Amino acid sequence: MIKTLRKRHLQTWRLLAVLLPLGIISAYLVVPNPAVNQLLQPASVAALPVVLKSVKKDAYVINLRSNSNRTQFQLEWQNKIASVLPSSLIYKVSKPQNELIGRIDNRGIFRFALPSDSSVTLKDFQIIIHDIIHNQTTDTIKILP
Amino acid sequence: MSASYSAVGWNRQKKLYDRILFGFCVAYLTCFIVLTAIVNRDYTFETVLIRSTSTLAVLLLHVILSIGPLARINTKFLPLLYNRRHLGVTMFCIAAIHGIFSILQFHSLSNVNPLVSLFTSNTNFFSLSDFPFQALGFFALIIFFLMAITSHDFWLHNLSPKVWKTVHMFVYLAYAFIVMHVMLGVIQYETHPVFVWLISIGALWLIALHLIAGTKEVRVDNKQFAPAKENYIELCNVNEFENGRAKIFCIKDERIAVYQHEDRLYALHNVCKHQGGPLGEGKIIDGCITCPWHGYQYLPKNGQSPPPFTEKVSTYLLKIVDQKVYINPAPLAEGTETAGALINKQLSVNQN
Repeated sequence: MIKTLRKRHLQTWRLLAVLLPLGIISAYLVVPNPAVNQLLQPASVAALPVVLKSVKKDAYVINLRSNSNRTQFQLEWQNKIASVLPSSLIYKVSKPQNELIGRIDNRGIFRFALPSDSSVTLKDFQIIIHDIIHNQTTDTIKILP
Repeated sequence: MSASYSAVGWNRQKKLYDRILFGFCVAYLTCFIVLTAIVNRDYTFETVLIRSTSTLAVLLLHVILSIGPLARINTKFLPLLYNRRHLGVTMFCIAAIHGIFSILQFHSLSNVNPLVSLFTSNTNFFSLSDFPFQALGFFALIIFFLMAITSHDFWLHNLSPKVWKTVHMFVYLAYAFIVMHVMLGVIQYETHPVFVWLISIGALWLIALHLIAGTKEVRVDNKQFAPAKENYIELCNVNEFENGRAKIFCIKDERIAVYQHEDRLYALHNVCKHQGGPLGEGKIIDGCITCPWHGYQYLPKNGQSPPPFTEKVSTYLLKIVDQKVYINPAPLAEGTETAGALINKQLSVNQN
């Protein structure tokens, strides 16, 4: 290598030594915290015994489940066939801001714990499916009694 | 080294290198796919392929970017440098599999062209958390593609080493794109901190390596010599040389390799005509100075590649007085023959 090129290499890495850590830290700081807490739920958690409500579609089945004394609630998503969306987030529609329930992949069964006071809102339980990759809402599902 | 262009100038070392590389890639992908199948049976093959190729490509990119500075810090790593281009092309192929399958998986099911969809499905360019990270990966892949198709010596000769090296320095921009592609993509919805740690450690490792190697080079470049006397500059003691090896000196911004070959010292311009490799870090094999990067060879006495090759580098006049080695820093025309400086005599002057 000639001296000019060696100098250019060093200058480039001095610049990267500043920009890369800055980029990594900035990107890490904007990781959405609510998603972190919700998404840590294992998808393979055991199903609660009572099915309160159910929605059946060609591609999936959604069940609202609870325990026998209705102190615990659970949303169950079952993919009957592989979804065209590789990964989506499920939000419960609520005011003033939708609540993140969890993330589903395009195959398998996913169960997410719901807040213990969910019985109040179960009458008009509505969820939206948000495509992470395209950053758009792909479906809105109302779970009627 | 080859007198004419061929797809790959195969030799035993290149074959061995490529077999190890191929074996590693197959073993990595197999382990990733099998482990994923055991741990999580719900993943589709496309998803596993996208993830396994992405992690493998990032790993190989870190290895590729480590080889240059490692070889400058310790010459034991020079054999890795010899075949780095094969590693680069392999990395591009694996990254291309990741890119193609990602576009097919995420963008091929709409009624919009997948490439149009890639750039129009998310236009939050001013949001960090929602930034269209896929575009960063796409541009990095374009850079890797340009590097892969111009990696052959045909392009090196036609573009000139200076232009070729400049083009290939875009790999650093591609690396920055990849880091942010990972940080703004998978890190935003994968919860396990291991991903952040891995990419951070990788970036810090490369930054440290390149800064250490670069600083070491600056020290060599900035070494001061006593002013010239009768056009000759004192370099060092004659005892500091080892037969078949060189010492490198930077005089007036030019690096000069001073080689001991048998009982004489010879001085040549340090920059190989092929890719600008450091001739002074090579050794003399079969009577020829051999570049450590890709094996280009030059005769010590005249700086010419042995026939039928045509590469030539500048030579310099040397003399030894009272066990001290002196050099005339004015370069002779490329390929000019010199007699070298005889080590055993107390006073020996080059003759053209």
